[in-house]
Amino acid sequence: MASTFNPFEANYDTINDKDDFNIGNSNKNYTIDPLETEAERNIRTRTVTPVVTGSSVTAFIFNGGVILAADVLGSYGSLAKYRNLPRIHQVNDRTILALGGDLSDADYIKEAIDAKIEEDLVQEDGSEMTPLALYAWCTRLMYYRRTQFNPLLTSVVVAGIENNEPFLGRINDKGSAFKEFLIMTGIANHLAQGWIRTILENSNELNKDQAERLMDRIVKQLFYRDCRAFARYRVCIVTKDGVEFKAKEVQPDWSLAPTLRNTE
Amino acid sequence: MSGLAFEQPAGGFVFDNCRRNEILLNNGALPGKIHKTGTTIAAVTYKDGVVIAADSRCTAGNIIFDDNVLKIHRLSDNIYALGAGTSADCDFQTRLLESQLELLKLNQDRQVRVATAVRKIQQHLFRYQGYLGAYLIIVGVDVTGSHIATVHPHGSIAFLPFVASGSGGYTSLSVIEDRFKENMTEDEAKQLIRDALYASTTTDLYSGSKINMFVLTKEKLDKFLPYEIVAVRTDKQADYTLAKGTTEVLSTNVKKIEFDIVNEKVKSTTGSNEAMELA
Repeated sequence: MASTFNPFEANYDTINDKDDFNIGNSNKNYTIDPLETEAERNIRTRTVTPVVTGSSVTAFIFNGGVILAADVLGSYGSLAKYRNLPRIHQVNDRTILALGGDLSDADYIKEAIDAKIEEDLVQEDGSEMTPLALYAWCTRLMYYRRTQFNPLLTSVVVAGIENNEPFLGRINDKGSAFKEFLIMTGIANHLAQGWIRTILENSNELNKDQAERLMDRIVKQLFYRDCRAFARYRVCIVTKDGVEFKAKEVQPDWSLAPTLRNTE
Repeated sequence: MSGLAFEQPAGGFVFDNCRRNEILLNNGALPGKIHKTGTTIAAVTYKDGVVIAADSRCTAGNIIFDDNVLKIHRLSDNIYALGAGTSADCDFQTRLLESQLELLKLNQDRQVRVATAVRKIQQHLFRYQGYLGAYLIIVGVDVTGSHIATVHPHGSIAFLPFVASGSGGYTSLSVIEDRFKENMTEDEAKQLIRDALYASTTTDLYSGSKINMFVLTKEKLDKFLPYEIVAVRTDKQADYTLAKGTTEVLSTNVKKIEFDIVNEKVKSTTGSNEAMELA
């Protein structure tokens, strides 16, 4: 097997936390119960709270494709620690994966998917991962982890071209998944979802340039109001012709600042 | 005795009712259900004055308690307040402030200023350390110009060119922030506020029904009650009246009731009460 990813393998350190009393039999082919391990070894192996987090991901479908945007910041609580972590990943020519929330769990998901893609490549039969297939697989993965009380505290956004139609879907940390023409994760849900939904519902299909300009406006609004946002961000546009990434920086307008007062 | 008739609050904090509430709870009295407004309120300054708007839904938990609430309260002829948070707190605190401002206006023989209203309510709310859940937006036009201020339950304030508050506040705020310009025209401002409230009444579960809007300038006050009804209840799709004879009549009994006319009064029927709209 070319893949090194096995979701049923133990995720704790099997080298340093050695099994001195030979409790973990090598003939075992079932999952090690996390609770049992924690109780015996007094260590915590599951993510309880997110540590390094990515802010929101915004995405919507326009006429001919999908556009996504996510900034490149990894926050360590309220510290803007890792300032060049792109969160939108290209899976193949027509599938894009964007991740928000806990970034270590995001890396885990990305590596699992990369291993799967390598497996497919090795078969050399021309079959490719489609967005819908990836979306379904991610749902299963997230829900499985949720049932084990060891969730992946990430929001996954899958976008791409499926059967010549734009596809956009999202899975949250509970394994709850849906497909929509507009996806916002994180605080963008509150800040931008209502606003953009009324714009997109009332307008006819946007073309690529209009979509890009609307996305710039959205990211600027989030930068104004989200404490964990960052000025540098990546935009990804998927169309039938392929995938395009752009690196941009928010140009905020602070001209109203002198008119604000919070005292008399 | 001083000539000023409004109340001078006693120094320090007043927590008399906290002990009483504790005793009541220990004796098994149920805590009162809080009727929150679960609101969207927004205000925007434009060239001549301010435009303010609010939705009209009042929720108690997950039930819409009242679909036709006016969340815009008058503080003075030129100052209005929008209230989000606990309904009772918003209503009563603004009413209290209104009476105090009226007395102040009579005493000083001048139009009351927005800054005065904000300072008074801020100091009052601070004394209660946030227990009065009134998230207010105070707007007005006075001699110094047009102003909008947010007041939070703990007593912090901010003077801003535009503001949106309540559970649907985030959504409205992003709409306004995207399109706000200094010195807009009245139509632009009304359209902007309408779009902001429309976005949040359709997105936020605790806001809805109607958009009530006021336009306040030095010369005029325009009231649009409502400006737009967002969720219109459609007509019933069938006639549900029951045919006569659906319920079987078993017996009929006719009795004559003796009565005397004691008093007669004639009243005109113009200016009748409108039925409460449940749009």
